[in-house]
Amino acid sequence: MELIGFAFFQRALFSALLAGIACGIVGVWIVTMRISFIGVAISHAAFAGALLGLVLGKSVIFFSFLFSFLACAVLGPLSDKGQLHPDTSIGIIFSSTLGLAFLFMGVLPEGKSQALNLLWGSILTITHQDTILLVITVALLIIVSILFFKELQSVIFNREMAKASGISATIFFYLILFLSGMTISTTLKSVGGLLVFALVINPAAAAYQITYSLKKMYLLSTLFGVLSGWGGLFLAAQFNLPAGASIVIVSTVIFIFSVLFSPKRVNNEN
Amino acid sequence: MKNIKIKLNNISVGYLTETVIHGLSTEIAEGEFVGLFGPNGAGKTTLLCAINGLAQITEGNLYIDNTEFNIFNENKFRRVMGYVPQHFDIDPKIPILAEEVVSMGRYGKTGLLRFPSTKDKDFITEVCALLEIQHLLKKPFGQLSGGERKRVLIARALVKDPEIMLFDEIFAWLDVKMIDRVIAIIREIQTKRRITTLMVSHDIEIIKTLCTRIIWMEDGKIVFDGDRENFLKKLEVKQWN
Repeated sequence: MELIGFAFFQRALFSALLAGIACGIVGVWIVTMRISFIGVAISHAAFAGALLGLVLGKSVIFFSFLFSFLACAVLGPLSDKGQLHPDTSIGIIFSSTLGLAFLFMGVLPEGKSQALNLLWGSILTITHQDTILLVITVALLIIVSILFFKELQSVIFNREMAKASGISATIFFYLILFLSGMTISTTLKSVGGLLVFALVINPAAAAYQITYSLKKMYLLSTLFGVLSGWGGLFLAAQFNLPAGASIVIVSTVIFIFSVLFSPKRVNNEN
Repeated sequence: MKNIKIKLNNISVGYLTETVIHGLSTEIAEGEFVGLFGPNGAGKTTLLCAINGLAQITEGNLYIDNTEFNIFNENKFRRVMGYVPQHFDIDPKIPILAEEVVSMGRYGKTGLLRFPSTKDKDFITEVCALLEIQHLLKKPFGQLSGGERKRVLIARALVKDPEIMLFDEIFAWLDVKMIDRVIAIIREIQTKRRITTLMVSHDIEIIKTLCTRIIWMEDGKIVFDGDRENFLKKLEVKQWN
């Protein structure tokens, strides 16, 4: 526990707090709207973009943003208009972005360690700039969740019905997708391209098992996200494990407990 | 001379490659209660969805209050249209209460960055009392029965204080007592507010009871459009044939 005294570990704890809040909020939208297939595709696109940034020697986060936004721009209309079954679109985007990621990894001019850091995450080496971007993302997510609570709630309930009520449901759907892309891009370095999606889904899915209130779901999901982040960090420090993988394991354990003790499960069984 | 509330000018409506409604034209006057009748696949639900813009009109024009409905003004018109869909599947675990579902009907009218006022809340309470759903309000929407959900959705459509109502098989899932209750409520609202209403139903008794005009559709076209008496005559001829 003497690690707490070190600046890098304090920065990692702060980043885990921010990543937990950001992924917790985005997870609520993705889980309640049942669009996890889009989230998976976005996270893989972000990973491929980050690797292209490395290849070109440019900003990893910028290219990660760019690729995740492109994935949103492709997947959004497909999902919105129902022209392609989600299984098909996820299959195409998932495999092609993963293909691109490995292609970029293959042509990396220097060693592969940076690429592997993006794959598994390296929360202990997070920079000041990364933290600032995470702060901006979290602030934006909190502001949007509060200011547009009623519109987002309507879209979560049913997009068609939200439209029929005179709400610009399509605009809010795209806002959700782009904020998901932004969150995944900014948390990519700390949690890792392959693992970030678990931190989006698991805390929100655990909260979903527990409450019938959307406001409480936001709070529980962010709480579970932060607990996963901090729990994972301490596990990693204690047993010398990879931090990203430990965070995801803790979030999975929280999810399993939430399913076992879910009041909704009891209700449905009755 | 009555004001024309809804005018459909030679509209065709389709989903992806399939055209469901073919060149349909009609006018609905303000305060009219129109029943949409016909076999499955006739295009009745699609017609309702075309009027509130949920189904895409591929040809022709739709006018509400003599103004063409388009993507720039669709939300303005939707805020005065109540819509109750036929099917409504939802995850039983969804973290949304029945009272929130009812309030959502008012959100479009409330506007961005604003929350329902006391006046809005009083009106919502009044509508819930009318539909006798106060005891359901604190329950999760996904945990309600089919009939209870239907009543909550009717309340959701009414809380926006609509000028146009679009009902799609609203009596399905309701028990006999509740059907009578909902018919009485609709009549009461109709007497007080004279909302222009289009109602899809397979139930001839309900159509006869509520509608003053009936549009009979088959294969995406209108095969009969007239008053209740002529509709019954047409029905009789159809049955004999």
